Amino acid sequence: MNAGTSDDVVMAPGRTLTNDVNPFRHLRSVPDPAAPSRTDAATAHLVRVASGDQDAFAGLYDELGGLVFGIVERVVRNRALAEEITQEVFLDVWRLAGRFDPDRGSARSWVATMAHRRSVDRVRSEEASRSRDDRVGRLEPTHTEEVADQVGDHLDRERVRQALDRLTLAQRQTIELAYFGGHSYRQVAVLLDMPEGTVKTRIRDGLIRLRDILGTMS
Amino acid sequence: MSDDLHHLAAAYALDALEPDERARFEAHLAACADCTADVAEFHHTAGELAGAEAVEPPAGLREQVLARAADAPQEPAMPAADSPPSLAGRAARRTFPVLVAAVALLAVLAMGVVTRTALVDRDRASDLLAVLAAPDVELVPLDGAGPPGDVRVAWSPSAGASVLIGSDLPAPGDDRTYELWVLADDGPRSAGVFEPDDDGRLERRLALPADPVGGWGITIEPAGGSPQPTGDILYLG
Ligand SMILES: [Zn+2]
Repeated sequence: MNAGTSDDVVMAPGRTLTNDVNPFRHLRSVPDPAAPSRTDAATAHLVRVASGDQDAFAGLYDELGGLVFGIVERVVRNRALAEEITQEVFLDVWRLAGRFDPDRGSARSWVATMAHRRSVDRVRSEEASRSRDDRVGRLEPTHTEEVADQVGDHLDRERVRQALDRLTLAQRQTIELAYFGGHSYRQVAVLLDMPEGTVKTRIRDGLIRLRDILGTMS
Repeated sequence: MSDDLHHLAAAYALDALEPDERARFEAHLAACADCTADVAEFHHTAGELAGAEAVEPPAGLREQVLARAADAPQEPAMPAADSPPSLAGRAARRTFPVLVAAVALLAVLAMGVVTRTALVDRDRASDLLAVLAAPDVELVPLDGAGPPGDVRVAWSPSAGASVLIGSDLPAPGDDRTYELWVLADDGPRSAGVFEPDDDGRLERRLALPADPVGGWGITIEPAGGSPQPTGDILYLG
C-alpha cells in the first residue's frame, strides 16, 4: 500500500536543525493572501461577537447556520447528530470568537474549519468502534441534491461545482472522499487501493488547482 | 523526502490527517510561515466547498443555538500571534490553561524552593517565580521526539525572560550537554547549554530573545555546546 513513493515519509524522529530539511528555514512573516475583505457580513458579525454581542451572534447564525449544518450533515450523514454538532460548533464560535482575527481569514473560513474538524473527529471516533463494512459504506456518494437546492446561494454552489468539474476525476474523487467523506488520506488510500503518497499528492495538487480556479472565478 | 511535512498542509486543511500526523504537523505549523500561509489559503478553499453544501437548517435549531450561547462564558481574546483557526487546538492548549498551569507550576516550584533552599540560590528562585507569575506568561510545551521527559518553556515579554522547566530528563551522557535553540528567522540560535540535576529536574532562567521566537528546540551537543546544532532535535515546540 505504501509503495515507497517519494513523499511517503513524513518525519523521521532524528531530524537535525542544520541540514536543508530544517523546517524553520522558511520562517518569516508573510501577509496572508487568503485574507478577505473585512467587509463581508459574517466577518463583521463575528468581530462583534467577540465582545459578547448576542444580536451579532444571531446575525452570524443567520449567515452561516446553513453552511455549518450542511457540511456537518454531509460528513456525519445523520440529521440528529448534525443538529447536535451544529450546536456545539456555534457554542465554540461564541466562546472562542475573541481569537478570530479578520486579518487572517474570513469568518466563513474560520467557522467552516471548526465545523468540519468537529464533524470529522466525531465520525472517526465512532468509526473506531464500527465495522469495516460500515466504514466502506460511507464511500457511496450521497450528495443530497434535494436539500441542496432549497437554499439561495445558487451562484456560489454553481461556482464550486464548476470548479470541481475542472479537476481531474482522480483529484476530485480524492478531495471529495477526504473532505465530504471525512476520511483521512490513509483511509482514502485503503478505499481506493492506492499508495498513500499518491493520495497525498492528489489532495495537494487538487486543492491547489481548486484554489486557483476559484480564485480566478471570483 | 523531508519536505513532506510542508506537503501535508493540504491534507491538514481538509482534516485528512490522523491524530499522530496532525499533532506533528501542528507542531511544525506553529513555526513555519509557509505552511501557515498555505493552510490559511486551503482553509479558505475548504470554506468554499462547505459553503456549496449550505442547506436550510432545521427549524428550532436557531433558538437552541442562541440559548446555549446566552448562558455560556466567552474566553478572552488571544495575543495576535496565534489566531488562525488552524491553530485553535494549539492556541487553546497554550493560552487558555496558561493561568491555571502557571499557578500549578508556581506551586510546584515554590515547594521545590522551600524544600531545597539550601541548594537553590534565593535570587535565582525569585527570578523563576517572577517569570512564572507574570501576567503575560506563555507556556510552550516542547514535544519529545522519542526520549522521555517533559520540557516546557515559560516566557514572559513583560519579565523580559524565559524559564526552561524540565522533569524526568535523562542524563545527556558523558562529555555531552543539552543545548537549547531559539528558532528565529535566520536559523537556530543557541540559547545556552544546560544539564538536569540528578533527579532529571531542570529550572533555568534564560534571557528572552529580542525578536519574535518561531519556536524552541533542544539537541544534545558535545560538552560546552556548539555554535550551531549538530545533534538531532529531541524536543521541539
Ligand atoms: Zn512548513
